[in-house]
Parts: sequence; C-alpha cells; structure tokens
Amino acid sequence: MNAWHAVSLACLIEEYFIGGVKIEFQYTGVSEAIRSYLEKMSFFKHWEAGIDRNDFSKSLRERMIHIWKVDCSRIQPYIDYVREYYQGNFLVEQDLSPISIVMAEIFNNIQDHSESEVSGYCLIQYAPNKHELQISICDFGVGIPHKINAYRKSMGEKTIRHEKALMESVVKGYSTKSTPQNRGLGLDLVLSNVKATNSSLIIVANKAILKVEMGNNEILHERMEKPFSGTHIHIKMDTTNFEKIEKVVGEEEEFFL
Amino acid sequence: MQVMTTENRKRIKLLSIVKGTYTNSEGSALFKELDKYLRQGQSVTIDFTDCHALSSSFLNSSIGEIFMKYGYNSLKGRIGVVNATKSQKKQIEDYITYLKEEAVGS
Repeated sequence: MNAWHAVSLACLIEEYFIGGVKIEFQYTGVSEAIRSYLEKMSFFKHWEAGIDRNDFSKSLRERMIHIWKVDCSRIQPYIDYVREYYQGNFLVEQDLSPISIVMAEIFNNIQDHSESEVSGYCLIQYAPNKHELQISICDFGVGIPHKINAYRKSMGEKTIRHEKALMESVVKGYSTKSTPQNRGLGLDLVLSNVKATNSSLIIVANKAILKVEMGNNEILHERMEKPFSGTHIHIKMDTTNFEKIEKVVGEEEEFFL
Repeated sequence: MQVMTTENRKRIKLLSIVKGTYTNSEGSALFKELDKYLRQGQSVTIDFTDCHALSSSFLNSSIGEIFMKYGYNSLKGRIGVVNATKSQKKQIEDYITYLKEEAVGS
C-alpha cells in the first residue's frame, strides 16, 4: 500500500461518510505493515466523531504528514506547514518552491474545476534514503477529460477522446474558463516543475492516463477501459534536483512590464 | 498595512496585504492595491520579502487582471519588483511574456 492507494481509499470512505454511513475499521487480516502505515497518517482516526478532517496541524510522526482533506480556505497554511516541516527536518538547504507550486495548482484545480463532493485528499511522504518526496492528491469530481469535453460542447465543438483531452489539459494556455481569470497555466506549471526537477508524474482521470517518467521529459498517455470518476495526480519528486535556497541580497528594483 | 512612498512611487509589502501567494482571493487583494495607486497615476513597487512561491491563480488575479485593465503600454515601468528570489523573478517574467503573447494573439 502506498500514498496513491491511501488517498483514493480516503475519498471513497469520505463519500460514504458524507452520505451518512458510519465508518468503522476492522483490522482482521490486515498486515502489520499496512496497519502501521495507515496509523502513521492518522487514517483510522480520521472519521471519528469530533475530528476536524480538514485539520493538519497534529503531531508529526516519522516522515509522513497526516492525510488531509483538502480545504480550499486552508491552502496557504497547509502548504506553509508542509514546507516548514520538510525544511526544518530533512530538506534544510533546498528551495521547496516546486512542492509548494504543484500543491497550490492542484488544490486550486480542485476548487475551481473538479465539482468534487468529497473535495479531495492529499498525502505527502518523504523517503530520505531515496531522496524522494511523494505527493498524492485525489478527488472524486467530474474528471479533467469530462470537464474539457463539457467545455467543448458548450463552445459548439466536438468532444475528443479522454487521453487527447488529458494531453490538452497540460498545454500552456488551454483553459475551460471555469473562473473568469483562468488562463490555463496551472497544469503546465505542474508539468514544468516536474520536468525541471527530473521528477515523475502520473495523472489518472476518467478513461485516460498521462505519465511523465523520472528523467524522461516525454509526455506519455494511454487509455483505460474502466473509467475513474475523478482526477488523481501522483508526483514523485527527486529532491536532489531541487535548487539550494537562495538568499535575496541587495534591493535592486526590476521591471518586467 | 505597510505602504511606503517615494515621490510618485508607492511601495507595497506583499505579505502585509495577503497571507500568501497561492489563491485567486490573494491575487485579487493585490490587484485592488495596485489598481488603487495606478488609477491615480502613481507607480508601484511590490516588495516580495518572505514570499515563497507564486501560483498561476495568484498571478492571474493580480498581475493578469491589471494587465487586462491597463494594457502593456500604460504599465511600462510603473510596476517594479524588489526582494524577489531568482525563481520568482523568472516566474513573473515568463508570466508577463505569456500575457504579451496572448495579447498579440487575441
């Protein structure tokens, strides 16, 4: 079991939970490794009465921050918390902007585009021996290809295959105009940060998969016969490729306009 | 809020008007500040001290909206940036290049 499984399982349980189903866990037959893994991210306690599922500022154990139900009003504190945690404990000298940017873009997409009743779930974990930081974020919304096809229909255009739609979604400037300011730069920014750090990315949405493998900037895609109702983005970042923290020295004004 | 004046140029310390630089609402708050001074004919210096990363939503709702309202020619030399990291400067520069291309293409 890994972060990928944990966040998609969390979305499923949350869907039942908000539908009024009482959540109880039985541990019979669960391996000690899986139980321990889920305990560390506070998975079993997440649906207990009185728990704020959007809260993340709990005690930190090992190399994992608790699983978090994405709350778009807490994007800033969550990203700062993650950055400060890893900066303070493991990645002391690295500039963690790539992590902050990809999380912000994916959370903003959930808010602006997903229409996900469960919001989404996020899990971050770090393996220092592999210098690998994993970010897994899942929602049970309409899914990127469906969103793009709905937009195309509204513009009087033909719908396209899901894998083509998913490829379009990462093209700079491609926007479904879910918000008036939207310019279609979010997933392009995710992709450019993945490429710049030689990291890997996988996006699963509806009937399509988009992949960028570690150390290979080619964007691959494939079709799934069984659809996934939502969008799941999983990124493995090679932290050795992060830039060193840059100190701003002097105060020279620059003009970009 | 910390706004310092040097003649006709106002200085806005970004983290004194927003908590962060990730969301549309934070971008809109910067847009309002920029607009307040620009429409009076003043210029603005944005101080990025202690800011970390910029999202596209933040840039769209701040710089992007200002660009749409005033246009490139009337903004030339009127919005400056200080205390930004190299990666933030690169991101702003790329973003403005994209806005200019978009404006030419539209």
